[in-house]
Amino acid sequence: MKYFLKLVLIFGVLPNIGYSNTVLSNIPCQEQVFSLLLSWGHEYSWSQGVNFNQTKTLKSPTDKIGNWVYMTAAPSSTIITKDTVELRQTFEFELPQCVAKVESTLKQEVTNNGFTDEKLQTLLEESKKKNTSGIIYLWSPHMTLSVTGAQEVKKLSKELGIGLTLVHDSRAELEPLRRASISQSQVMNSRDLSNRGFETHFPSLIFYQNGELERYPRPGYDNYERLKEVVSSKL
Amino acid sequence: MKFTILSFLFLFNTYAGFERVAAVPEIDDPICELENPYLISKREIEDTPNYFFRTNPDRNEVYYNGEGTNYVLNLDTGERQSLPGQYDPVPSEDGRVLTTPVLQRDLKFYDMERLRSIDSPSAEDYKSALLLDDDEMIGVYQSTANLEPDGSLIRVITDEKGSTFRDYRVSTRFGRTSVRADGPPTRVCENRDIKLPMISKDGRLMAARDMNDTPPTTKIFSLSNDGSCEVVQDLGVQAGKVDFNYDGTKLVFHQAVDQVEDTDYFKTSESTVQDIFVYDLTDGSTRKITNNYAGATSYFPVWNRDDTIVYIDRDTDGGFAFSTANPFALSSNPVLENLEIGQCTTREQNILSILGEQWIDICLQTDHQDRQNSILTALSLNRSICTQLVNQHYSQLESMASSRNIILDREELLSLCPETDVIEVDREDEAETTPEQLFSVKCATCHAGLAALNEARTQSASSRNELWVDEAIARINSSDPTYSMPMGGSLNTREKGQLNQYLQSFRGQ
Repeated sequence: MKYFLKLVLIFGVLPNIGYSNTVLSNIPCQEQVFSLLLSWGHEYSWSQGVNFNQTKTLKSPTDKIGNWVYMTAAPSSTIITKDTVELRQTFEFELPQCVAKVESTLKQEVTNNGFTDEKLQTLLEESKKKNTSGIIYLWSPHMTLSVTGAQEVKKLSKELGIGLTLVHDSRAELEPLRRASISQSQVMNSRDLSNRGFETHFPSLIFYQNGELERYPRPGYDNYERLKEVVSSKL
Repeated sequence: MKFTILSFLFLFNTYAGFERVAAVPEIDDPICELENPYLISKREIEDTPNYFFRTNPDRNEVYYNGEGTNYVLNLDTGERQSLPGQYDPVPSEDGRVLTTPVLQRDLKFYDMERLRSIDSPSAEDYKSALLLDDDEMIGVYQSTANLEPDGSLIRVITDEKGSTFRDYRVSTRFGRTSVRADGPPTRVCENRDIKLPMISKDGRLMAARDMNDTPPTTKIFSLSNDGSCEVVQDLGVQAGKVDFNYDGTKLVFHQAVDQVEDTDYFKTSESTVQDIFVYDLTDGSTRKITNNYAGATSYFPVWNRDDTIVYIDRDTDGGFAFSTANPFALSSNPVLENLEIGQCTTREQNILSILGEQWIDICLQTDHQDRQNSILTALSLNRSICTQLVNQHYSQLESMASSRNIILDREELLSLCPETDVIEVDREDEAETTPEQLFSVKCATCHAGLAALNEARTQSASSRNELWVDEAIARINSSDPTYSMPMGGSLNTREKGQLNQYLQSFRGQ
């Protein structure tokens, strides 16, 4: 059974107090867009997707793991998409009226294994509760240095007494995975990490401390000494 | 109760910023496969390669690592040859020299012509092809540039301390190539935390992720000979490794594409893709070259000299291929001339948009009806699928056309189906590697004295030899990265078995 809900709403213009961001300058219906974002009430840390001649794509995490806000700003319209585990809501503002056309779609649940947003949330809650810090390390058997790095980061986490979660390329072939012999690694299935750009390179790592996940991952291999320096400066 | 189904991706194309729609895999209909209209050829490979590779554009070759062994593969013939090193084989721009790093140890330079002449690799052969063993360059992720157009002065950059380059003089006399360092290793952008550095073909620019910045975007830096650098352009995105084209005006890279419209929650292997993008440094425009959908992905694109690109494709069925594409293939397509946002201006455009819309109806099950998307979707169909679509759904196409006051002609429609010109080629089977060859390939890179070790095998047994065998076996079976051999490389179970057996044969001789 399919449900497809379409609504048309008109958003009143709310005072645009303090909401400014240079990457969002000159987007169509800016005032209405900012008002909507303000009404959701949290700070946005926008990162840019690849832009085409006249279209800007941006995204931002929210205060809940797995929930993100996307923006597509074309020459005559801005589309804001609020994406949560259960629901996707799209608000399209088109010039000149800037009246929001709203579409809501309930999402289909998919059974996942491996390191999911739920597990990431649990890891961060645990970290907050115990005031601990750690690294989530992504590797792939199809990138040799990421395999070497996995062994090194294991050694380093033990040495420094910090947490380590090993996750691997969800597209890795089974035989190379087995051959790499990296124990206790889970398949990467976190949308939140993926949205942070985690899978652009193998290895990538991301830090967390006292329940806070760093906004951006660190891509590429660092040798043991360099990694130690980086970890010491971060955690 | 089940909800949804609007499952499509928006794939943005450079043409006036309009969107392009790609397939979802959920619709089990062979018609729902899209071809990449930019694709020129595809070379499938049977082993599981590393994602990172480089090319020698003058020979249409790729240099890659497959299951722990470096290879050079000719994309025209499928011939493949083993190379020294455990990962990241990177040729100089003119292909005369091969560089391979040994983690935390050195950067090796080999004579490619000498390597090409080797039928079956041995330690002695590799040793004889070794031109320079630079133990002052201990980083990895090397990329190369020609500081002199004739390749007599090259620059190699690695990730050491973020980024470090060194220049080398290369000369070939009477068929013999030599390489010598020309100046010390020079730290690049010393005050910045640089990741994934890649140098331009002329050595004057570098692309890298600037981890000091928030967000840590990919930037283009100008490089001075003293290693100082200046940002000349910020791409604004966190790209994968970047490759500069030969005139330094364009970049190519892979980047994740958000599937904002995906209504499932959420399986990374199916819900995220990496696509290939070409970025024009002169005007900041970007074009998207691949149309990956869930399950397929593309990585590490590299320019050829003629502005075609090669990238590694991971297909939905798990296969790997090196794909060659022309990013500008549609630039001169007459169908796309005068194409404006929101409307079709010619009969051809109208007919193609109807065809594309029909495909979207079937495969994406959505009412999304952007005309430009539809045209590009139609252009992404291969000829056979396009023909099927026309023949099987002609009545729907006719009625769609009539609603736009167009009288459709089946032959005309079929004539507009794209010509498929993708050459799919398989790798030729290769002979099984012998234990001796494996020993040479896996161990020769680091052990310059391998010839002597081989020689030792033929001599009488000694306790020293026994100890050496014990240690070698322990190292190849160890999972400790600081102890295991080959350093920075890997061995599969079969290879470990072969090497164990081979090493055991050293005892008591």
